[in-house]
Amino acid sequence: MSGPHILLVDDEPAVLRALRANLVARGYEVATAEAGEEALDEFARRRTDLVVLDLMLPGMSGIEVCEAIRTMSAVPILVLSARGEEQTKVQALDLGADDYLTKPFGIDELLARVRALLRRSPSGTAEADGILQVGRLTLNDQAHEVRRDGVPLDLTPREYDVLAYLIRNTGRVVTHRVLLNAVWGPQYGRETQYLRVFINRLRRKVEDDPSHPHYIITEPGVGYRLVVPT
Amino acid sequence: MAWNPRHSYIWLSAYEFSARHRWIGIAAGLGLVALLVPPLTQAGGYYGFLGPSIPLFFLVPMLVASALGGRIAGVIVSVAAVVVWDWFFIPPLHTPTIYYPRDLLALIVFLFDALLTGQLATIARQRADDAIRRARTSEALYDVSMALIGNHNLAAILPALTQRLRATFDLQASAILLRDPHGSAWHTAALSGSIPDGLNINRSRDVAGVLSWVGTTGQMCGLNDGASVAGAEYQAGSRDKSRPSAQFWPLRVGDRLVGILELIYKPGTDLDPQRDRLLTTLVNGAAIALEQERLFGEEREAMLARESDRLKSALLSSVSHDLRTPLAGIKAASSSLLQDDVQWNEEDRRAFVMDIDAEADRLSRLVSNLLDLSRIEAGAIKPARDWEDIAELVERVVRRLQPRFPEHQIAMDVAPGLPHAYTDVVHIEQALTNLIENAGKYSPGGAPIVVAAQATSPPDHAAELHLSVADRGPGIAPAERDKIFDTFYRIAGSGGRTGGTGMGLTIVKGLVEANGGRVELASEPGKGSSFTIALPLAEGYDHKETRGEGAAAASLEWPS
Repeated sequence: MSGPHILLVDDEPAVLRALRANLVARGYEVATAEAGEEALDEFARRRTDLVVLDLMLPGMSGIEVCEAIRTMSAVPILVLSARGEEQTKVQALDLGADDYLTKPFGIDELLARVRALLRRSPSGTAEADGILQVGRLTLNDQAHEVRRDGVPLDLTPREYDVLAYLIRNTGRVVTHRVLLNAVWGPQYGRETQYLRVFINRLRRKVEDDPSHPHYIITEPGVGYRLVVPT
Repeated sequence: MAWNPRHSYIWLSAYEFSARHRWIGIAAGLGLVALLVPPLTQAGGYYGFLGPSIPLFFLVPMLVASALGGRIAGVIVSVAAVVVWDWFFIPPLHTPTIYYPRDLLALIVFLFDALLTGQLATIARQRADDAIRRARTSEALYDVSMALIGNHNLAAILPALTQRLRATFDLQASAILLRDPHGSAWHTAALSGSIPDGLNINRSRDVAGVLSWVGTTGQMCGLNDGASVAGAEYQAGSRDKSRPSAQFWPLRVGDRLVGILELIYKPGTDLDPQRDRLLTTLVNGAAIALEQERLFGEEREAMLARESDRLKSALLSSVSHDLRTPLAGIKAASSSLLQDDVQWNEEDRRAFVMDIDAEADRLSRLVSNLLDLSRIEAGAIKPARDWEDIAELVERVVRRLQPRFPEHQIAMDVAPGLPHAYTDVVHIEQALTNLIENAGKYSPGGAPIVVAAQATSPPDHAAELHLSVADRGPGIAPAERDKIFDTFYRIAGSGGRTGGTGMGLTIVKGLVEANGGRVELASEPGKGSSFTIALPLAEGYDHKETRGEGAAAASLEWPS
């Protein structure tokens, strides 16, 4: 059986060449595309387990590609963006991209993100009994509670909603807007101040040291990400 | 020495007009009364055939006096007429007494009639005058408004306004004075006619004093030509009609003084309150026009600032993207090489190293472009000019660039016996390089690029050396031709694939112009473009001593 299938989309030949060589060397099956339309063709034609997508593409933009892929599939998308393109990056994440890397990046970083996204993706639905285990945290959807080391956390309903959403999306970057939409509703899409307060309160209950969080990580200017502490 | 307003005079509403006309009315009325006495006496006086009509005759001078000199003249002439009538025509003659009571009654009725008709005549006269004045006012207003509307350009409004004012009011001169943008000094922004020295802001210190007084008080002020602050030749409140005199009108919007209108009256001009009212209206209009223009100017400046901000952020995003793109390639390749868990074969390893090398070159070109650009924009380009062999330069550049554009054949067409040019070889090499790189980037694969060099000597022009780069790219639409030399301008839709930064042509233009040359563009959309660097040849003839003998001989052969 061949390794996971990765679609690389970037218009810079040097970047494309290096990523491809590294991913192939690790046993991934790699397809490449240098433009948006080409990427969608590739995506439609073959099995794809992960998309690495540069946001700055000639012609059809990376955002449009991201949107088009999301209408077809829930495949993990890792977007590549340059500094100074924060807006585009957040836009892509709002549209459902899973993670981002800022150029220039090292290969190790990329490989780590790729592994994390692929690890998450098949197990993402394994909550038949409504129970999800993330590190020392256990989410019990039916009981509407989160336990830490088996001890139920004292959460308000809103805090529970925020934490549950983050746990269900462990490893993914969840943008402010997405989180606000999911918990408070679309009309609160811009109230990032709200979120900051809630996250601080949550950290006091979840983290060992709330000022040095290990579970709920802030992605500056973007949102939050729940990670499994190593 | 401080200027004291008491030395000048301020025209308020005390005008000669009404007094003068009153005296004319009285004189005319009395004259007519006097003229009436002899013929009426001849006709038999009180007992003659005109006897009963005498009062009717005396109504005439009274009406004339009322019409010419107004109510007071009418009353004076009426009283005079009654006295004369009584003295000469009512028995007993030549006495103030009246014999018959009916005559006394007639006299009283006459006086009453006279006063009443005098009043009516005065009103009629006033109305007629008003109508004429109103017509004149609206004409003048219309004239001046036409000068004010129509355009939003101070440079056009102000001269038009001063000209109209001068024509409308028959002035010797009219001028608009504006404050210097920095500081409080005044300068003449527009002038029609000629201002005598004594009333000229640049010649007379009195004028400066009057201006600051007008500016402070917001009141109109007058000044006689030749009036001296120190001397006592004129008194406060009087106008010397035999000399030109000036009125300084503040142009105000609300409390803001936006300018001062200076009107120079010809000697002998009469002033009237009506004119002042009209002027007040016009002055308000002019002030609003000035203020509006100032606001337009501010709006324009704000727009320019916004535009420059937009350019700056476009610059930032363009530069940061262009700088990061090669960096991303370098980082990806170098971190690949550092992977411990993969044994790269020789081919992969070489590919990574070549990528690093190529991207580093790209980065280096970008950085030197940025440095050139900042030097150009700062005006810090200092050409180190010398007599240079352009044919050699062309060959050098083409040889260096050909390997980077394997898809294109770079052909050279250098005229034999090309004269040397007095120029900075590094600058021109850079400019030519940028032009060839552009041609390579924008041409379809396989299309040749032609680099030509030749000397020209048009009859109406100094001799020039033309260095041109022709491609068979998509060409440049006429609308884009000026903009392509602007910093960071990229033709829409061309940016992504060609990887242009929008700096190349700006640099070409900057470098060539710093060397006294110019860049020309000929292009046909769909067929290709040709950029020409035109360098002056004749200019350097003064600098013969700086070049070698051979070069001197070569360049003196051209043009013959």
